[in-house]
Amino acid sequence: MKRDWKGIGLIGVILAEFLAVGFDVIFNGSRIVKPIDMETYVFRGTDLPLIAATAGLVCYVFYLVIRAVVVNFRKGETAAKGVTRKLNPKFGWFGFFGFVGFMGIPVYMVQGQVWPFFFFVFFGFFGFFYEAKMSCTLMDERFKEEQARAQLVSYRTGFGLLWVVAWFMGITGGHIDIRYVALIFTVASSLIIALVLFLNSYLLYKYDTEEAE
Amino acid sequence: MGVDGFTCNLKKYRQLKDMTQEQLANAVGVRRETIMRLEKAQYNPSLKLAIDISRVVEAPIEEIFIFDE
Repeated sequence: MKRDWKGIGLIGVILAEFLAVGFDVIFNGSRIVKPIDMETYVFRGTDLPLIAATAGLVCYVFYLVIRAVVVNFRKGETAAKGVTRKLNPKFGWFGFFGFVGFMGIPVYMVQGQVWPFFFFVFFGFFGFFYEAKMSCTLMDERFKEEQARAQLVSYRTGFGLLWVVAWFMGITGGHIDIRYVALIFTVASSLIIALVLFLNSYLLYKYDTEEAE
Repeated sequence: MGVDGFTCNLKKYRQLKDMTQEQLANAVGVRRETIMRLEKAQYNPSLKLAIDISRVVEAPIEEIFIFDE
């Protein structure tokens, strides 16, 4: 029986992370689990397990993602010319990373930073579910027309929403704190990009299938 | 629903040539779904595709694709 080394490796690094968190909480006074003030932080040997386990987990997940993307696009290159790229529908699951954007709420409240909201862009990756359904499809003239139509509708929707946000900020921007302006633009632009990415794939699939009956 | 004012007799001429939709699609370099939509008058083909189809089914282009004046 062939062993799934990638799965075993992932379970291993996750388990190591849990053990390291337990070690840090029980034997190290939660020094790394709690938010760290980098200006006053002094390294101790007991900090090492959690730092190493976290670094290992991040590196391994990063490696898996890069590897999956490279393998996928290598397959896409080998597809015959004139057909859509071959895409694994599993890439659609990356859309759930969009929920990480909600981490922006506590991060903004505690640290006043808005960058985690950029993760909302990942919601657009749900469109890969639809793009995968159109894998290796011959791009004939009708397909190209529908592709152009889908792009036009999605970009028009995105620009329309962006204009509404800009208009709203133009009216209210002078009366509210600049931090809220940054917050609203970050959230809105991330969600709009996600929507455009998703609509591009979804509408193409919809146009290609809905009128066939 | 078809394209307004557009009638397509492709199915008749294709069957006269004893071809399947798949065969015709391969002959003119499009997908079978495109031929299906053409036959239902749901798609307005480009001039090149219309000419290619006309050549393959050996019928005049104006008899396959009819646009109301």
